[in-house]
Amino acid sequence: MSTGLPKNPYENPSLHGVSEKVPNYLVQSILVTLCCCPPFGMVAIVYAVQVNSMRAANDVTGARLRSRMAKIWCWIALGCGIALSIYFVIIYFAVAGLEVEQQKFSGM
Amino acid sequence: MATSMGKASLILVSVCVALNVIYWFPPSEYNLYPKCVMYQVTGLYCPGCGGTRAAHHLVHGRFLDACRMNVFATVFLPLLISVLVWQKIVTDRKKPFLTLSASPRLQWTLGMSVIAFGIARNFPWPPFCWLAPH
Repeated sequence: MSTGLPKNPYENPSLHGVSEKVPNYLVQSILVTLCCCPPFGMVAIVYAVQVNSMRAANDVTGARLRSRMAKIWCWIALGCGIALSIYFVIIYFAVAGLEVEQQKFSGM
Repeated sequence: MATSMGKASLILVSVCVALNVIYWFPPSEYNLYPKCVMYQVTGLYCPGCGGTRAAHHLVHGRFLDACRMNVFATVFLPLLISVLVWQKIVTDRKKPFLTLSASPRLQWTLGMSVIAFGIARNFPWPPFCWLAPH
């Protein structure tokens, strides 16, 4: 008390900085880019990449926002990848079935 | 402890199964692997295209053939996975598995190199077209 200025721990960036961790979804977004859906995965990477630098600059709000956006785009990319894969599997079997039918007709 | 051991053994078993599948069934001859959606829709190579073929070459020990399919996945993915496993086992057990502890700049470089690789391998002229599966 004798030193004068009262300190609010929530306004002290150094204290704040140690305690709060913001997940950056970098690994997830890289995996999703490689395996599922590159366009949306790339968006996720661009967001994920910003999280740590904003975190290092003690911008927790911005970092959290980027983190959330990265997470959302990861899920979108994953969903798109799975949905399109299922679609292509269906198309594949449909085409194969059609070819079998055609062979039947040409054999007759 | 018991659950983490169970989880670890489950992961180990599935990795072994995956390695066996990729060893015995070459992706260029069998249709059982999911094909790249991006390639089917747009005809462009994504950063992961050629990855399963590269994995097949890699488990057969043909490193250069694997590099011809996908340099980035061949060199970088094993590295990333081993770093993550190292972190999980040695450095910090409490962290979730998929968090990379590295400097912001290194992480930025990593993410951007994935994107740059994905773009670069679609250029049809020599220094870049070697990055595409061939």
